[in-house]
Amino acid sequence: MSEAKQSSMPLIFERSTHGARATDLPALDVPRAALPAGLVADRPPALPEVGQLDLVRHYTHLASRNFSVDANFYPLGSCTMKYNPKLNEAAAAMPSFTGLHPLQDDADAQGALKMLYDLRLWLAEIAGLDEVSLQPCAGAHGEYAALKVIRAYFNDPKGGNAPHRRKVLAPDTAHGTNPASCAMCGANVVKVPSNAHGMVDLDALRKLVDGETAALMITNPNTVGLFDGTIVEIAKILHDAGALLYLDGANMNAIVGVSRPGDFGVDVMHYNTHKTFSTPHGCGGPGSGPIAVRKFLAPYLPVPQVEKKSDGSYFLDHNRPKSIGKVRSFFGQFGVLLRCWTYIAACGPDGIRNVGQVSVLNANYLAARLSDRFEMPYFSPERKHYCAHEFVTVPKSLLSRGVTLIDIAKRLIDYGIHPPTMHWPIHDCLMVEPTETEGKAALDRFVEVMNLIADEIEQTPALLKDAPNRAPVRRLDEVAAARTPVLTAQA
Amino acid sequence: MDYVQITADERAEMLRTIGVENIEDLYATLPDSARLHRPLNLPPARSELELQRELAVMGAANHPAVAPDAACFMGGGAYDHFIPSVVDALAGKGEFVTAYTPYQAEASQGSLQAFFEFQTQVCRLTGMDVANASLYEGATAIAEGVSMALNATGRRRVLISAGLHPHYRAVIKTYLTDLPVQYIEIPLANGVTDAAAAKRMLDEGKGDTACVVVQSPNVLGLIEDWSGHFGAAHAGKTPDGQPAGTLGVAVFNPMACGLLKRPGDCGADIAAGEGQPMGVPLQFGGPWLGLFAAKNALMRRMPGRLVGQTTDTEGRRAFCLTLQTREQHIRRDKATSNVCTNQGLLAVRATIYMSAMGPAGLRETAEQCYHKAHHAAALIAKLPGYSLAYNGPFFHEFVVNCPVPARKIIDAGRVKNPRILPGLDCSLLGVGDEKQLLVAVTEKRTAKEIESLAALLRETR
Repeated sequence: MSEAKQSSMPLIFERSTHGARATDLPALDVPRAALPAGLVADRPPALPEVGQLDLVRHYTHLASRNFSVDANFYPLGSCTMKYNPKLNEAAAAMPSFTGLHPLQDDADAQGALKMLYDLRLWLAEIAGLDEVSLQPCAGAHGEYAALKVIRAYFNDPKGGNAPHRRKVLAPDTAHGTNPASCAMCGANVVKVPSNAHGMVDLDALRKLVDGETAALMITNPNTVGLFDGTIVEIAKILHDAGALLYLDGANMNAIVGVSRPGDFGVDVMHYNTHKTFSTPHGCGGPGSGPIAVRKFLAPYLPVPQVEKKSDGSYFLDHNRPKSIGKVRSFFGQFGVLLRCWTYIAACGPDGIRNVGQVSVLNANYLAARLSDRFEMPYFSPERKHYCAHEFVTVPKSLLSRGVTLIDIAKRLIDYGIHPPTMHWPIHDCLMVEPTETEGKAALDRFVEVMNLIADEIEQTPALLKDAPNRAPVRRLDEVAAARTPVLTAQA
Repeated sequence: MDYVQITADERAEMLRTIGVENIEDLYATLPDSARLHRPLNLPPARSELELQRELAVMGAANHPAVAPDAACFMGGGAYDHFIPSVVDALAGKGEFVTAYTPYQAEASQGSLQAFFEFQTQVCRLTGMDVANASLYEGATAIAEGVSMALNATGRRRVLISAGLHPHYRAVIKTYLTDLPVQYIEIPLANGVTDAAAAKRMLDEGKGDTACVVVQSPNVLGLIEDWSGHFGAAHAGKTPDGQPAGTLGVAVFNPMACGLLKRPGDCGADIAAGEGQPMGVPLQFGGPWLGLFAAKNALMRRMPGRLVGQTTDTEGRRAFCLTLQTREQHIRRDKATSNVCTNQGLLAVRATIYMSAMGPAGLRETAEQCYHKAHHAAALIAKLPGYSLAYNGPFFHEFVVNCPVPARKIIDAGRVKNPRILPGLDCSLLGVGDEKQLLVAVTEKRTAKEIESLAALLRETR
């Protein structure tokens, strides 16, 4: 084996020693029963056998091979990688919450239900909408649940009474989950083009909206990081045609406390609590995707709903005859929602507004400082074109020197900064979202590093081609991974 | 506290750099009618110390089933298992908690390798070929399995055993309404999926059945004959005599896989289930994780994230997200699913749990569940007026016919000291009548607690 290959990080299976144990159980204190003949596996699953210290070292080493918000600036656009307060983690780890069985009597879960009820009201207030369901597991799941609610409303003879409305419009810059969620609901998705300013093309929208249209799914601030000021007009176009306006809440962080979707014409929206409300991203989940709706859509929300009785006690209401039904088992991502509650409670109304405002301040500050070397198609302070909480740069002049976006991204890793989102929502762009929790020093350091990289592109581009060289691994062959998939360790 | 670190001076300086007077100017495109001109109607900000107190008070209003003063015999899809301390210690590391989806592989080898280990463990646990890096939770994982079967076969009806947990069935129904698909429920006979009825329903479908979905242990705790059901599904023919291609979907409990034959041993094409028993606390139902595995032939139709092995430029083994052309951010409305996030941190937890237990630990845990449940069942069956509702083999959960409403027993247990949570009222769960109690016994229950349970039942008549 070559020297290079010897430095591969072992898999936990490769640390296995027959007979090693990392944990134990009390001795069995009841009589053994006969095992069911013919139903028992010949041998237990081939899990690794490791001692406790080796186990701890293995996953400690793995943890050290991750970039994280706790250790690194992580300006991944559209993902809102803000700081995750430790108090929230402590709250979610309290045995008085973690020990609750989901089918316990409501009377035994009053604290949990109070939390859910508070959060239901708070999220409705922040949205400027009437009722919230905390059920959906993540943003895409929220989209799915909300589209089902819209469908149920139009299918209801005493509701929207327009079952033929099965067309859902989405801008060409929409998150990929939007059309995918529509497809899962059996809706037809139609793309709405954007204009040169990155906004919805209103003329095109007017032509596309018709009697078959159920809704437009819009992200606002939009996916290029701009608040679309024509949103009020957009809502009017939809409503005049009897259709609904759906807000993908992915970018709520820019406007929390400043502007409410319900006030600018939105009928239904989803939140991503792991973006806006600082529940941790956890290597890709758990998320949580509560949905907020206007009153006329509320009867169709998923069951159960948390409610308060006149005596002040809380309960889960399963009896909502017009509901779309269940979208998951039990009640939602409870532990995530508890973190969300703790965050909003800590921020309060002024803090929530500050979150929105400073997220926008930080993004504009970075854009302003970087714009001399990194072209910004939508940012131009002299024309009063500011960004929301994130901005897009298409660094054409730097890319014309023979480096790629990937080279820039991988070089950022060498400087200890997680790369921004790449090639989305437009080709050859970096989308940078600093979030409000970064201090000025971290922002200035990012500017310094981006300028260093720009210098390197001009003077020593090989440094970028060779990057990363300070990460646990060098650049990967991702094409080979897809061509010949190896998805499990070989026995 | 809003966790913003920018000071007032810095704010002023940053505004000058941008060239605006105040932050409101940055919202230039926001029409006045879209602005909120008042503070949000939320409770005032509270300090960390105040919140610690408030959370403690809120927590004290709960009477959790898992507590020093309680013995939890509640199951119904949520099980109280032992969680070694290493799981919290390692999965709680900030480098796992605060990382995101590993799009940048070189900066995410920790999560990626953990997911690769997870996929491997799920395959070994289920006996399947390929597993994804987790889905939201059990019910949605099963619904995704049904969707995958529909897409893979192009068939339009699905046969779902009535032995599936009612929540799983409800979610499948939600996922299938509005789609041109027929949901058909296979009834139970003596507590297990009725093989004769299933055969008849398959025949009636004339080869247009996408899948047969059977949960084992089923919602009543009974072990199902996966091999028989999936064998029948695979034998189905279209009217012109071609194989119908009907798939077998096994809904499994990963803890049972520590003892019983695995989905892959019994001919399953797709295996999906709730991963909560693998080191995840009950936490009122979530966040948990969905386990999802399949035969190799279905790999490119899998929903969710997949991690693959590759090498770096120096030949070292490394890992990255792969087969992304299945996914929504590339394929949009043609994607295999709309799933974007997995349950990353829960997958890390489950990986650490399975590594900590090892084959011997998982087998021992599963066996203790089995022996303790059978000991409890034997004690209860001897009580006057009580009997077991079904006589088939079971794993760690069983239904008891009671001489009184289950509600009465549950209420009596609540006021005991220590509290006894004797199980679930089958009528509330929708799997029986009000005099039936669904009892789950895990490795955590002691002989003494099991005796207290039996005593509670004996006293409640």
